[in-house]
Amino acid sequence: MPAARLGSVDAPAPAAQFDDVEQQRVSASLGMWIFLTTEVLLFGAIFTAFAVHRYRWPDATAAASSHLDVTLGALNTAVLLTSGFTMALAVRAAALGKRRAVAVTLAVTALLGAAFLGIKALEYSREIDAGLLPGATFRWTGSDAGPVQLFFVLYFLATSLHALHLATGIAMIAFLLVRQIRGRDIPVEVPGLYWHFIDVVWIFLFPLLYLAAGR
Amino acid sequence: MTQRASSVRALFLTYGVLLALLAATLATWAAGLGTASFAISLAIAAAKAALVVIVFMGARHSRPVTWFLFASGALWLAILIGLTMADVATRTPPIVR
Repeated sequence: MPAARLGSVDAPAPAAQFDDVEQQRVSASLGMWIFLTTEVLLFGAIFTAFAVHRYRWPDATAAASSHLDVTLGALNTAVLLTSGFTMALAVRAAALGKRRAVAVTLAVTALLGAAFLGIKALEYSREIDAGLLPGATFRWTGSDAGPVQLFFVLYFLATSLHALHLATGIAMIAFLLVRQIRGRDIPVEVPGLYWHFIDVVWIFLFPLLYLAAGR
Repeated sequence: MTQRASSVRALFLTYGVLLALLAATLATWAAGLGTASFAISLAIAAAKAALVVIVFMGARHSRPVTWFLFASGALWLAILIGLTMADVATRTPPIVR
């Protein structure tokens, strides 16, 4: 399609089904937004379960939540907010065509994501040691052992699903970085939308899980 | 409509506000107002999420169809949580003990 290349020497040619590169960019972005809408409902179902749990057993929610480490949870929130900021910088650098800045900001974003997972793993190991993992090894001496265990089912489900998304995001960034090092053009805006969505999910998970008890 | 690059200043400012909101959340929790603290922390979370969507995700530069998608996600989420809670709160006898 020689006609599509007329605009600029640097502009890549769009795929056959698009009129121009801009239409292709908007379509890709829209596709990610549609996917994220379905993700809202995936995590939304878990949020709904939390709402029901809190409504039926407010005391068990509070007792269970008070066993989570607010300091580490807050630290992880700050780490993820920072990674969102560096990802936004990467999207900006890509829009301006600054390849080196894209590589640096994406690498920092992925490292922050890995730091989040490391802190999360530390929390998991402490909680498992404390007997809070639901199942045969679950230990709870207080009242409401059943509803408390159910809270931790939801906690481990929600946080591990979130961690899985984050690990996917880190793998995606690593893949993109390798491509860029090999001299290819890489998309940053669409991966950025996915990363920010993971950020938004955690923004809600933090108060729902860690701050449910009050103090 | 070409892709618009956000200014570094706008991104920095947003990041600063996000961290300030996190600090406000922790201060609210430390104040120990019980359910009120929890409600405020959720309201702050909604504000943080709005900032991320509008500035970091670039929704402020996007087309109406993106806002339509965003609104549809919010609407279905509201139906999911709203109708479920209406059922749980009003069914007699209660579904669960």
